[in-house]
Amino acid sequence: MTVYSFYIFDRHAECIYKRRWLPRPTSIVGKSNQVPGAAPAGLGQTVKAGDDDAKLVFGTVFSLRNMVRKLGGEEDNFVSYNTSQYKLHYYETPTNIKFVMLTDLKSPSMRIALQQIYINLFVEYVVKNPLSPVEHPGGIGVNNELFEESLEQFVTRVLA
Amino acid sequence: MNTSIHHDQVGCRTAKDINKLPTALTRKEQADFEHFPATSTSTSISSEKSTPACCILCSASTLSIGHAVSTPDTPDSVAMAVFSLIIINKAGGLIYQREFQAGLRKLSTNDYLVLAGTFHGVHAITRSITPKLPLAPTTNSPAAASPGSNTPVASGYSYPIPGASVSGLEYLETDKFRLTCFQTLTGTKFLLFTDPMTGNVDTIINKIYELYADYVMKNPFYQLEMPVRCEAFDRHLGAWLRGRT
Amino acid sequence: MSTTKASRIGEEIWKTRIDKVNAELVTLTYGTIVAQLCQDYDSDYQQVNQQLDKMGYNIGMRLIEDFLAKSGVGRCANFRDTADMIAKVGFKIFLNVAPTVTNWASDNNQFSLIFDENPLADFVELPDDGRAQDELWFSNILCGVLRGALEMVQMQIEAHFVSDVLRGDDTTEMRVSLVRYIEDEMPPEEE
Repeated sequence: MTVYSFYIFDRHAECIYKRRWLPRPTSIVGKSNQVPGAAPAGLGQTVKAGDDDAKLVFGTVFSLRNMVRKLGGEEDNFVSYNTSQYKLHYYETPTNIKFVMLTDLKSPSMRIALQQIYINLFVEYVVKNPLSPVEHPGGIGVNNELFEESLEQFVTRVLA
Repeated sequence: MNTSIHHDQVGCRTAKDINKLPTALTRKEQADFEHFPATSTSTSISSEKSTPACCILCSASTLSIGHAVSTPDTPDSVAMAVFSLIIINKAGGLIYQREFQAGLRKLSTNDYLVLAGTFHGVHAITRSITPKLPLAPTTNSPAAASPGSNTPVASGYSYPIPGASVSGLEYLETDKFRLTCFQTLTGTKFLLFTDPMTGNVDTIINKIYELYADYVMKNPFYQLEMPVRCEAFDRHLGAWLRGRT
Repeated sequence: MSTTKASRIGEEIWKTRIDKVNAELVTLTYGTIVAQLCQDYDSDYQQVNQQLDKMGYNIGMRLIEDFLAKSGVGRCANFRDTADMIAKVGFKIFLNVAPTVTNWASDNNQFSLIFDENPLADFVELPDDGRAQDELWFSNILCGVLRGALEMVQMQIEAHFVSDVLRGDDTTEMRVSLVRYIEDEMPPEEE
């Protein structure tokens, strides 16, 4: 399966973390995938996702989650949706932190994976980091090395 | 409460966390990776403090268990619970709403109207946030178009499935229900709410579309884009769904 | 969720998922902090109470995530459930005590926690300056912890101690009141 992007939104509806993964380039000839001056290509290559994207993603999951609660009751949870092109996975903590992941259609349910990112990465490396602020305006404190590196490993080694 | 306190065991974390300073990570993780297979058999949420990689792998094992369980699509015995149907016209207006089986909460007419409008908007956004994958730079022939893709090459990206159309939301899953959205080429949306286990939803929704074409669109007194009040449609829809259960 | 079920959950997490640390270390560390604050604020105990509450608030806002991650519990159905969850799971896993929930107000929005034991206050004797006995709430950090933690799960509460065995009272009692449930925040409108 392929992970395209990943977002975290805090309780103030702000995107405090976003990350996009580029799939391995397929059209490169042979093994000489050295683009002069560019970062080495490969699975680990990431770029910052567009800002406006995050707002649209938030609007989408926020609306859908409210719709789900309205129809299914307060205890119901929005889990995922598919389009013809991608699948969006959603997990929200009781503290209203929202984890969103976009993957390809072959991907199985990522709910447990998102929960694990929350429990094993976010709580451990962001929340418990005494030097990081309690709230993360502009992503302060989330983009620390431990968190990013572990997330990278999780996505590229475990989910790949 | 007579739980006497053990002085050596107050659950307060301080000392051990000191282990986790950033610089110690990489090598430690590698070490943990290596002896992981022997140590971890647990699938419960691990609270091991100083073994990040191990946690990650534990979660991988829970993950795969999750898959095995959550593929309930048994084709033979299909639980057929169709909760309700909503039809939204191409402008986002609610034109039909009907409940077939209890299971979801009932909303007021106004809430259904709002829901239809909201869904209409969200549907468009889910389409617009389709991941755009930058085309890999072709090292040898920079100007050449990416081979085998009929996607917007000019703007330098492709969609995940280059050949396929780009749709909005088609299926939505929650703990309690599954929403299938079928959008006709004319822009009308059929929203079918079913039990998460219900199979063959596409067949059901196609049949509904046929019934709609017959008893709504072909009814000369039905005004396009207006709320559907066609007794024959109601009757046939109800009869057909009942016949399947 | 019944009180006994909450107790079971608390017991289970406490046994299996909590790293333990020496209690004296905690007691002495906390005591030192309070003593230092008293010194820094020149025995202005109102200020000390306030500072402890503020520190607790900042702890609570983080601790709740660890609580949720470890316990895996979902949202409470009502404030009574919340009270049990605090007493039987929260206090249990972080301090190994399980205060009694009692004295409910008729609207179910206010209750008391009675602490039979309080690891923070072991070995403590309040200063004999004639005022600490009446003004200092030694364990006031706990009020802040609850306030911070519950705010993160959309509950604005008010918490304060009404009695403390350290002051010579018969019990140690904290009063917790629900002020309101906090609505979802929307993204700011853009112009």
